[in-house]
Amino acid sequence: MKFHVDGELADLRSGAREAMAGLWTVRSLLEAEHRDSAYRSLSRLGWLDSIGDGHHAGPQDCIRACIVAEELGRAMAPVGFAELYAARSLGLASDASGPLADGLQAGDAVVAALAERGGWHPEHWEGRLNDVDGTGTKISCSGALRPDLVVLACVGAGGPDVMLASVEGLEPNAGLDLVRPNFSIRLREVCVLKRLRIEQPAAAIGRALDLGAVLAAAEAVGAARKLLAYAVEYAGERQQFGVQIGSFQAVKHPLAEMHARLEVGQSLVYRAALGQTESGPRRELSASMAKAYVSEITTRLAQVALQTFGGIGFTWDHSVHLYYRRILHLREAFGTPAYHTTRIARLAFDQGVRL
Amino acid sequence: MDLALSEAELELRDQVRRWLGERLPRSPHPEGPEERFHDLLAWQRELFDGGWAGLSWPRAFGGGGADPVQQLIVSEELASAGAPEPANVVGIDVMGPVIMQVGTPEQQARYLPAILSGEEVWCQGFSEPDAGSDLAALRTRAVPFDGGFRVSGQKVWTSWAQFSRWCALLARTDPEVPKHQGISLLIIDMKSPGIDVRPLIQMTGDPEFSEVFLDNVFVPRENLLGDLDRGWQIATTTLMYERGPYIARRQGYLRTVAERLMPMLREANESLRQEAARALTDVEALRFHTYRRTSELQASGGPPGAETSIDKLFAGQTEQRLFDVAFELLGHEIASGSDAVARDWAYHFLYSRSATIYGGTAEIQRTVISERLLGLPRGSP
Repeated sequence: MKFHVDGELADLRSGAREAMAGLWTVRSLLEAEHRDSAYRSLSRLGWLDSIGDGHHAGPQDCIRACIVAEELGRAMAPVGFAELYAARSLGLASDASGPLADGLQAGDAVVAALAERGGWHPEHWEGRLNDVDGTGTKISCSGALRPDLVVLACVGAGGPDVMLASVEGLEPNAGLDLVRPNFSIRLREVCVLKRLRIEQPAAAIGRALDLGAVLAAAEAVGAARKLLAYAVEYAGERQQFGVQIGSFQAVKHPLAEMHARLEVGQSLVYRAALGQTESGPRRELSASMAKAYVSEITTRLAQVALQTFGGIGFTWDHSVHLYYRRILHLREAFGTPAYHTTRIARLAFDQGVRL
Repeated sequence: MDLALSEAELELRDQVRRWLGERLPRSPHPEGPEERFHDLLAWQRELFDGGWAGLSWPRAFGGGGADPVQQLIVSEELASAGAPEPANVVGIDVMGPVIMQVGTPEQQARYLPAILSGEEVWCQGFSEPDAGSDLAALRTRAVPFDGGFRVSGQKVWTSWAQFSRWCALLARTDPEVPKHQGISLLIIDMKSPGIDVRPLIQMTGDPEFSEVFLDNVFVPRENLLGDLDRGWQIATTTLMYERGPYIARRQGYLRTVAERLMPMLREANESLRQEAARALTDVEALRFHTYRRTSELQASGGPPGAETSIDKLFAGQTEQRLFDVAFELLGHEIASGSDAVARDWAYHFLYSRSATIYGGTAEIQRTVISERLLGLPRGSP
């Protein structure tokens, strides 16, 4: 048993952190041109490449992806990494010969079109797409900043299906996360380039959604760590009543509580990452536990951080709100805490699934 | 990174499983405290005879020389089989390691074997009526006297004091210096004249802990453990040793509790199911966090540090959250006490309320985390 980060994984983490630290400042990412150049640098340096080759990826590939995701979250990277990764895992799940035979190239600017207004999972999809027409809209499509290709999962004539598509004139939404654009895609406006030949598309979509959930949780852990570090730093500097506010229990104890819970959540994310190559309901249970736990704790942590900063944290000029927005965005991505908690109950209580 | 066990570790797991299958007592716990304690002591003898007592102790001291992962495997198996806590947990998890670290060869030879076998039970004389979370404010005095000390004062929350042969007691040996200095760790013979043990009844109805009054109790000089006036340092570093085995057992135990609840949740209403799912998630999070800690400890080989406060804090909260779910689900039966099963749930529900108090309150853990792990400024504690 070796269930902690050291050696090669620690090197990966410090390498990623160092590389990203030199690429941008968080404030600069409010401008589109800086976002674009940050994205291009990340892509050029290989941080956005799929690690492992899709459904052949092993548990160690997942762990490495998790560590990169944490660092991207920490650095507020202008990319939907979990979505990118989920899209590629779908692209690579195809039976076509050669991992990239379906037209997806490493480094391609793709977005994943998965969620609909009803939710992230196929049972909530109301949109329909067939050869003649499409109805409904994919929302929260994310991944690359300027997508060339859309990896689209939706309900087709024969049930859930995955295809490569292009969409003319995509414009990003004014979403909650100001640094990471997302798109809405109307199904009647997509141009389907290719249906991916996947033996069991519904199962592949399920796997991709769980993988995305775990990586989104990892991103949230990274973002929350950075936000907590900011709050701790501020509490150690800011003085009121003649002392640093971090010496008051009313301030320091909530920060300690959040640190403790985040550390524990980190362990759950690693367990889930190892579990994503398992088949069946244990994979689902580990993904849902990690996503539900981390979403709840990181939103609480962000609230505690905001409170620690007081008024200054509520200003546009301070970076706190950018992290808060990212954490809220990730909370919704790949299924809300309520969705995952309901799924945990069904798996564990009704079906007797155990980790 | 992986969770896989090695061949040898799997063999160890099978071995302890087989042994438990043969030896674990099936009879319910007896009602009276005396009977219950002797039951626990008998269980410790079984463990000792089976070679499972003091697994973490070095072989040189009669232990199993097990590494952190091996200890975790055995602790988990014991817990998931429903095995009781060893009676001499203070001796094995706390005082044994202290004696190995700072004890003289004579002390090691005298005390260690009887701790392992359970022949001699130890208790901890740390807290006092006016020194709880602020332990360093303790006022029990040890005054030099003809080849030793005379000790007077009062201790409280001393678990199993009425059955203990020895008490590891913190006493002030130098009142002139700041409060964290001038404290020494003494081994008190519980048969000494001048000791009065008065059991306190807990909320659960058990007299598990006691008040201990000391009136001019003579303690020979050779019963000083470690250096004079260094008791505080010894006590605070060694308290962390207790955490690892405690958390390993506790998380295993909580999983057995969750396992009993889960079938009953099928028919429960949706809001309770959601809260139960969150409680179960916390139990699993505690489990994998314990694995991560154990793995780190195995790799570093070092002693555990302040990060054990995270584990202690979260374990206590997880226990309470899980039993809150149990109460939501079974409150009607628990309140009525209608049968033995309901009374058992009541007992464990009430016991869970202490999980954020004993061994350092949740508030003290948060202070440790914020000051020692996050580096926040010290304030009024």
